[in-house]
Amino acid sequence: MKFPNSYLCVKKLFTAEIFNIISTVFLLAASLFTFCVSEEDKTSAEFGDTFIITWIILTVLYAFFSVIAFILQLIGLNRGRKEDKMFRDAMAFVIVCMMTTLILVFVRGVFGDIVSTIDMFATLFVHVYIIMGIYSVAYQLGYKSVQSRGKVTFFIMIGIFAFAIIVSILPAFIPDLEEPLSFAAPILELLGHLVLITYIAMGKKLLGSQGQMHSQPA
Amino acid sequence: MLFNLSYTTLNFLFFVLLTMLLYFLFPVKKYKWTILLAASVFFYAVMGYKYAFFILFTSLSTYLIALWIERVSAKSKKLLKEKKKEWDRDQKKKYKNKIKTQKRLIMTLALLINFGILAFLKYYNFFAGSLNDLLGSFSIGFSMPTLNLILPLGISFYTFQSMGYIVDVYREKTKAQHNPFKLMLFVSFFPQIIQGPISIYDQLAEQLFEPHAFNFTRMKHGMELIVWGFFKKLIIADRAYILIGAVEKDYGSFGGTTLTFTILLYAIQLYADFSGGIDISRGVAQIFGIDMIDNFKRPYFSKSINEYWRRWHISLGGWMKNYVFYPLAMSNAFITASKKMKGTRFGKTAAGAHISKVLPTSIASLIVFLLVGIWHGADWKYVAFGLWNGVIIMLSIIMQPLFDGVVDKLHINRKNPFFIAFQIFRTLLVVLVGYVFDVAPSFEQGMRTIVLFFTGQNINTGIEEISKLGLIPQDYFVLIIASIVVLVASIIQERHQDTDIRTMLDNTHFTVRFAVLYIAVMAVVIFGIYGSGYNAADFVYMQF
Amino acid sequence: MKFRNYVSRTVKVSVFLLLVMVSCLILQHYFLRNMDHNSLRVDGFYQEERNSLDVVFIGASDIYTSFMPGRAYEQYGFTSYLLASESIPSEGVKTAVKEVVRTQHPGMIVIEANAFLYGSDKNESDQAHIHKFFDNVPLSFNKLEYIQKNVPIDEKWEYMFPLIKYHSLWTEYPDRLHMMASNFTLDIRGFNYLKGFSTTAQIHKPKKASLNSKLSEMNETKELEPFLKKQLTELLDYCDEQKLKVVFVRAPHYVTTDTLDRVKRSNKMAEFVNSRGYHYYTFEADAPRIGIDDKRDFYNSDHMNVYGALKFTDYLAEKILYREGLEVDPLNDAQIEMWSDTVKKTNQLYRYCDDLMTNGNDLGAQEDVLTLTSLDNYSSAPLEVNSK
Repeated sequence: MKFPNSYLCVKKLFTAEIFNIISTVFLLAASLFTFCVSEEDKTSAEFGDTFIITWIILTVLYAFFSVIAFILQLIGLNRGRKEDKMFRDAMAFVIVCMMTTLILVFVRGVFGDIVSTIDMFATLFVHVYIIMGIYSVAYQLGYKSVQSRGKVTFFIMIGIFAFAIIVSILPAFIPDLEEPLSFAAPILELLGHLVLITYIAMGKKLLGSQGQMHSQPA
Repeated sequence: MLFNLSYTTLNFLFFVLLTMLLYFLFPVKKYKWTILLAASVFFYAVMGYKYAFFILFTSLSTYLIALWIERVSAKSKKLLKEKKKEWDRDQKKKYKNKIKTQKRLIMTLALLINFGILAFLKYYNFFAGSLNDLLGSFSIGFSMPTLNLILPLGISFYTFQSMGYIVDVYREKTKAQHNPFKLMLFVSFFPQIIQGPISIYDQLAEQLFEPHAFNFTRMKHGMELIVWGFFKKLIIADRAYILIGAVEKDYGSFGGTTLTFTILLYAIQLYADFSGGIDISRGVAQIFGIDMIDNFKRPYFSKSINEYWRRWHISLGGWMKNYVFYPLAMSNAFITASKKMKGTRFGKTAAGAHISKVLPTSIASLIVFLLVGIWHGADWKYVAFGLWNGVIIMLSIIMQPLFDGVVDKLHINRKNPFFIAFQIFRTLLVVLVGYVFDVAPSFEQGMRTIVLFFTGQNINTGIEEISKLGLIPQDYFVLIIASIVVLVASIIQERHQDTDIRTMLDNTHFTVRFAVLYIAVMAVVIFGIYGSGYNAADFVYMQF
Repeated sequence: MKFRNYVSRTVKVSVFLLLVMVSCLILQHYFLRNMDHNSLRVDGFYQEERNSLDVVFIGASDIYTSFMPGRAYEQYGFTSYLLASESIPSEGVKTAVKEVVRTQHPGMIVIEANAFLYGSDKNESDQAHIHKFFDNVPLSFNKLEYIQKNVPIDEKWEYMFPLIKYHSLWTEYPDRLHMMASNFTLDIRGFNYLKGFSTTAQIHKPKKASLNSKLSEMNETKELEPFLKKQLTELLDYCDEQKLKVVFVRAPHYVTTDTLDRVKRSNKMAEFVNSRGYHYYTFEADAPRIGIDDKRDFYNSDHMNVYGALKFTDYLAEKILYREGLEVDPLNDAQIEMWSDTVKKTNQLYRYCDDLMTNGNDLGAQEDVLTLTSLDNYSSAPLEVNSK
């Protein structure tokens, strides 16, 4: 098999994305839950504790599945970097993401906002380099359909990211939008993961079969 | 000005970014140059709409006169072809001379009009003041009025550039531009309008009008050059100018040590300011795919004053060489004078033979540097500056055999590093004396400064005076470090003349490139002199 | 592979630009910034949770030295913040009100009248006073509106990115280290302990006699400066438009013959504001009723020390709560804990200043690391001081 490490990498990344999707679903649920429950109910004697416990459970589940996804990504990219430097670069950015996530636990305010911005960009670059890694392998194997799909996926990811930036900046100017837009970020995140996972699946199929896809090499 | 688009402002950077986007996204490749023209017009309108008439007039007159000259040439060629069999050699020669005279008259008209405008706006008050002083010393009652004249932005640069084009058309080195807007772009191209370089039409025009596609490497190199220009201009030049400006305000009250220190600092400030500004101009032009002349090639490494002027303000030197020096040195008058001298008794001696041989070049050089001095400003001190350089060059040409003889007799190895160091130091001293006249407010003050170099040194007074001139110890620290960085970069560039530092940087690992560029950018952000906290020194050469 | 190289290059350029941008933001906010008690105060306001304040006080030093939010919470149960800045100009007051509307929706806004009582409009163009407020307001439509309307074209960038103006402050390190540390700890902590309160531990030694006891009988008025009156009118129009509950106050001062004109303008302003349907409390005239001791309760002619501030806080808080009918919103556990810390720090600060003044030591006391560290030596128990 050509590119065995890349294949194992992509397999792990696929599983990681599934966990990412699950964690994002929990995050979305937590956001929607916070948005839908009224302020009075949040602080009421009857429902207040239930709200807090539910929110905590959802958040913990989100964190748990995110951590698993992180670890799987690292393992996968560690294999992949041996064959393509795109996976190596993706791994570097995953490490950056881990560091920023850790820092964000302890900091707030302007510094927190700055670190959060770095985290957003690092996450984007992880996705970009994963896409480029698969693209690169497809190029070497001569699969044009996978390459062109890679381009499309790349531009979709950029579009989602640009939208996410706007969604995160708007409340700074129009604070009343903060709550309605609070679950826009998880929706966009989910969309990004779905787009990415379809491309990773394509890459996984390509590397797994290597020559049996309907798009023949040039 | 409507608002500040000076090269070292955020406004300018955004302006360049916007122009870049428009240029590279413009769909019709053939007319991409119109974006550059629009940007140049906008730039000039914002920076000096009051002066727009002058640049428009120069563009239009240059355009029309170049076409006229070309038409005369074309007509004459056509006629000569027709009359080829009909006319004899004498008739043809007579006709050719007539056409040459006609073309020369047309060219002279253009030169008179445009240089006349420049001379009037820049030198009328100087002339009037000097004449009034002279008449006053003879107690003659008549006096010329002084006028409140404006000096259009970049007039010295665009006048020289467009007149160079006229001469090239006259000499048939280049064809006249038939599109008035293209010519206007050549005259007003915004990266060079404020302080040059003065470009040759053939070298610049093709690049201006040719559509350039986006090229990442070129853009990267352009940005790096811009950052380097900012580094020199904002960190070194504008910081040093705080002290120099303070001294200039009350020049006569300072002692020899302070003035000596100021002149030394001025040498650094002038180079950093001028070359920094040129680097920004060249960097901007490079982004658009246009390579402009590098106006500086490490001039303080020069081993002679001749070499210095081949490395300093190269485009002005080149212009003077092409359009003043060669026509003078190779003119009949100068050659005849040389021959006459050779024919005298003195001319038959060894020294006389040498002097008569180099007479045209040495006198032409003197005239060129007198003009260079006058170009710098309307004051006797600039005349002195020009004469100083001209006389030194003239003497060095005339006395070259003597110097060579001394070096040979003493068996000095010309490649010996100590000898080279001596030559560099000697050249620097000569240059510094010239700078005295740049800094001093008048010729008299300049002479006083030179006297004080030798007789007015007092370290304690100097330190006390210097400490009150606006720079704190941290500023000196930054100045020293930044100057060392520039020196090291210059040494590296001097040793690798076949390439440039940006290309060398491309061959390093991207983390190294990153780090270098990041440090440079952050150094400019933190240590640069900008913002309303400072009166940022305008570009020294902007007044020209 | 062209596409891959293109993407790789774009990422590298983006990373570089991001790094430069982040570095500049960090420098701008933590290192190369004109940091003082004003910046800590204004920063702290924006750290307050959205819609968590019952009252926001807007004004100049008159209010941030006179009112103690920690004391008000402890005694009267409402939360408040002092969004104030040294000699804030009238444009600053207008922008502050808009920022409060944008971020907090409090039950009441209290505006100290100082900005409208100057005899000329010179303060409106005082760069230091303008920058002390606006440099610390984050980029928002309100700030952009101010910049667009009032800032000359060549200075607009400096207002949007203060780093352009203050980048040269590196020369002032290490003297500024403690303010940098204060800024950073405020960010990490996530809230301002004293809610904007600042004071000076000093007792005023006046050269002239106070006229405070005679002010209640003084009804003379003096016209407001025309530009400032126009500003006040626009502010009131905005308050009408937004249907805001706004109360105007004039904090007590050590009034002498030198500052009598300001009192007259205050009376005029009271007339004008009342005619527009808003309440204006001239607490200068109420100084005796509040129990302000002219010989002890001021640290200079314009500002009260902690002795005066305590009395004034109690008096004003009662007025707001009972006369103006302020509605107090409930707090969640995290907020209660935070306000409990505020109360403790306020009590410690009082004792600290009391100690300094008793020993004749004159010192400023504000939300910086030096002051906060000194407070650890003092008890945070409720004050046994009866302000009545």
